[in-house]
Amino acid sequence: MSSESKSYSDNELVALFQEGRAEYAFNMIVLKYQERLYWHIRKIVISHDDADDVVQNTLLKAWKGLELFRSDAQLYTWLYRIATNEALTFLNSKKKRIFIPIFSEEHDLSQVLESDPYFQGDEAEKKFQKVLLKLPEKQRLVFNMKYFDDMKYEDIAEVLNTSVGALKASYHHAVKKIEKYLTHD
Amino acid sequence: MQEDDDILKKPQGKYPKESFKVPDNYFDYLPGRVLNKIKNEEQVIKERKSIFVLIKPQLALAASFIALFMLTYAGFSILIPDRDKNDELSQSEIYAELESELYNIDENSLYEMVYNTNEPSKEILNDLSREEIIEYLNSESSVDDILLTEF
Repeated sequence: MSSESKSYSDNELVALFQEGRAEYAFNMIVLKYQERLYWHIRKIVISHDDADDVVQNTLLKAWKGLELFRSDAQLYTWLYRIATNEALTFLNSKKKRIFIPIFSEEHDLSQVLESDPYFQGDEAEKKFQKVLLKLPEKQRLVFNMKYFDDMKYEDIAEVLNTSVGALKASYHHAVKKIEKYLTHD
Repeated sequence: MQEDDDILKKPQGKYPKESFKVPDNYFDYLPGRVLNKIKNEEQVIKERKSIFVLIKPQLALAASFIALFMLTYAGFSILIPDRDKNDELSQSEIYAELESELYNIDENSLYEMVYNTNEPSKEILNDLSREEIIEYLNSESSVDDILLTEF
């Protein structure tokens, strides 16, 4: 199945979708990008159940938007942008709904990390993940996309709608903070 | 310390799959679940659209009735002046009107009014002679005083 999806470029898949083979083309797109989108979202929302909800909403939005998608943009950065926005919107609405205001988002996500049955990292990895949660939202996003997904700054800039220079500065600050937290804690 | 450095130097792209897990076969079922969700959502949209299409003629009819009523009302409002507003009297004007009416009442009409309408008074009046009544009326200072004390 995944070899079938590799035979189409993103532009071909979009063209197939817009030419009337929407379900087939969309299935190919999901197979091609589902894991990358899922892990991108999971790193933001931490819990599997939340990531599952958000990835489905992301793909639902992609389905609705693909009809008008123009091929001058990159499909995967467009999908990443939807996923990022959905994940951040999810966190904000969850914060308003459930979280007690005296605790920070970092504290709340740390609790989620502790209670998530699908987190099976050792103590060192848990510590590293908690350090990432201490980062400001934008720095955490940039660090995740650069460090874990090895994305180009140009692509991250397209996803986050910001400049490459600002991203480089954000990543640099994030790395410095992580090093500081890991050496001092 | 060394361990922390090792974490930061992890091969890119592998983490966090090593520590974050997903349920078995999660990615095998995800495309099907997403397509089901899309189909369900489209079904809901279709149902909403079909309900709208169904009630569209009635909505159009109701809207045209409302429009017709508004136009008629607006037409009448422009063509017929508002009589109520013109006829409106201030409180002082009402008092002045009543006062002038009061002075127009002569003694005979007052006697007629009391005799014809006030039932308990009628019984009393029947016991009195005409001369006694006239004497009573003459003894009072004015018609105003009589009206004020009797009514």
